[in-house]
Amino acid sequence: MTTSQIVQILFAGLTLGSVYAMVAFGLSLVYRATSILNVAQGEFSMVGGMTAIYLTVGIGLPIPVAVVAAVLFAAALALGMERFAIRPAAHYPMLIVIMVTVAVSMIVQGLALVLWGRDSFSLPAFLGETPVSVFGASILPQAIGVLVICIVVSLGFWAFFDRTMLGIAMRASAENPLAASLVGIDPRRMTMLAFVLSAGVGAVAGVLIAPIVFMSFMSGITITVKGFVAAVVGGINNNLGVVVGGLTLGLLESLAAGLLPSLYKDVITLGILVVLLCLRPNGILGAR
Amino acid sequence: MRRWLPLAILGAIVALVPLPLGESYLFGFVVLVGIFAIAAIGVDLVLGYAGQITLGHAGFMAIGAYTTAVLTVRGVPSLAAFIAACVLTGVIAYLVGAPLMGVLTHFHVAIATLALGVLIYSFLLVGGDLTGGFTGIQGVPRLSLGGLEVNGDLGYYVVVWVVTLVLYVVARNIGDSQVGRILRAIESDELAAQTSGISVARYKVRVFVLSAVYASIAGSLLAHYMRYVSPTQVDILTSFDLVTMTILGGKGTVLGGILGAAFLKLLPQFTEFFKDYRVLVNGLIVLTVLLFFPRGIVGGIELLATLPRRALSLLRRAGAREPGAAVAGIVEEQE
Repeated sequence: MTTSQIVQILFAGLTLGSVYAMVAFGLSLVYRATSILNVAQGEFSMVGGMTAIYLTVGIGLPIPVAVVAAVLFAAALALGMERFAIRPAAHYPMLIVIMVTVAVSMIVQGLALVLWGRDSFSLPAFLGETPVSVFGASILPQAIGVLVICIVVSLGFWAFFDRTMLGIAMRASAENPLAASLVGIDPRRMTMLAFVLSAGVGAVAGVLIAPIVFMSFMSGITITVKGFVAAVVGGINNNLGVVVGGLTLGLLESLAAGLLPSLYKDVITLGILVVLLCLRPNGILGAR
Repeated sequence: MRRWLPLAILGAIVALVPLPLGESYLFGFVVLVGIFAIAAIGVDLVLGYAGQITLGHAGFMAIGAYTTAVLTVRGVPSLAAFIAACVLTGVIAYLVGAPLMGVLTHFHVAIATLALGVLIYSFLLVGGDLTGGFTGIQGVPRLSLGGLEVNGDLGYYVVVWVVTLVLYVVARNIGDSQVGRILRAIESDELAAQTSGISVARYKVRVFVLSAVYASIAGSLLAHYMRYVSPTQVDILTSFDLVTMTILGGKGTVLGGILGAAFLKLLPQFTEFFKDYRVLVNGLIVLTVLLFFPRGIVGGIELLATLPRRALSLLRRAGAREPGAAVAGIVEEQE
């Protein structure tokens, strides 16, 4: 393998990994605010990506407008999800709550199927089309842009949970909703906020991944699984872990894609997940 | 006696259905209902009894269907292929289930089974000549038992529904046995079950393996009945279908698997509307049933069945205010 090929694979992996890390951040956000792991997380990315594709390729709106609309649409769905599915199930056992998120996942897929049909679509690279040469490999500015956005989002997350009152309140309300409400935090507002924020991050991830992979109404499932692998590899409560997990997964995947036929890519990721869940359920960096 | 009432009614319906429907195109769908009911009962064993979310059961159906197809196309007898499929599925379910059911949360199990379903589906696509990629395997021989070849819809109907009813009784008896009570204890409170000395993980793994074998049986029957296997028969949407059937019918009831399968497989035949709305409708059904009717169709039937008795006791309470009626009530109670 030549240097330029290695650099190519490295960049592809980091781009993909950044997106997975962002999906994992979304999962982690809801988990830390509500102790719920949201099976529908990937659907926000799917909706974000599909909306952006529809508005730009389909209708011809400029990219920034489409991105904002995509994020708002996903956030609105999350709002509806929290209000009409999660809140009514608040006092049910965790099994039912997770099943409710599965049901929401099916509903969002069903909506996407009705709105956009069964076909797969892709978004043109919107952060610049002319490749930049790095060590002989041609890298799209898109890839660098995705990396930068991922770094900004992870720093934002760290600042939010460790440095702002709201982030700390959110953690408190997940830890013990009753005690949190005694010191004046409204757990229901925290839950709603967590869902909306996670949908926003998820939608951004979906828009970023739309030029790299094909999107269809089924894409959310794989995105959820990959975000979850990233979270599990790193440990879901650990900001750094989530980023490391996402990048590792992205690199492994692009390496597999470079060496093996493309259909094997998912086999490898999912194989990693199953093996990993068996050996280190709390993550490589997490406590055993 | 009441224990056998659902089975008696079910048996009667199964025996009578061929009379009006025997010639109709709908009859084939009734065979499919039986096949999917088996897999849905399997899902119910995990979801309703052990309280674990499984989103990958179509993957086990796939192992059953493809093992049967691969072997019978090469001349292996149906029954031998069927047993091989069950064993292979059981072993895979054990290898995956043993570590999964140990320490993991509902979400871990949900995602891991989801991933397993996608993984098996991807294997079907990359399996080359063995699995036939996107097109699958054509020309699966008819089911033959001891040299007797099963022919036509009626033949398959009889075989499939006999198997379904037997597996229904097996699942229900497990539910009513000590193992079933242990599983219910686990479902309602794992920690409490653990502290009472129950080896939670061991029971969860056993029921997971059994439920995978149920799905495998359904897969083998599907391969023989359709005469072909393809990845779309056993994709993730099929796993979601199975979960929907179980929840809609009433999780933890066994009978619910059959009723849910009947509802979900037959209703689309009566309305064109369903086609592209299948996923959306499934999702809405699951959400509504989870939030408002936790015991699904079976819960509704139970409510209807007890309605006369409730009305009677209500009347009696009202009647007690009449002179003499209270005495009659007491006399009745002593008898």
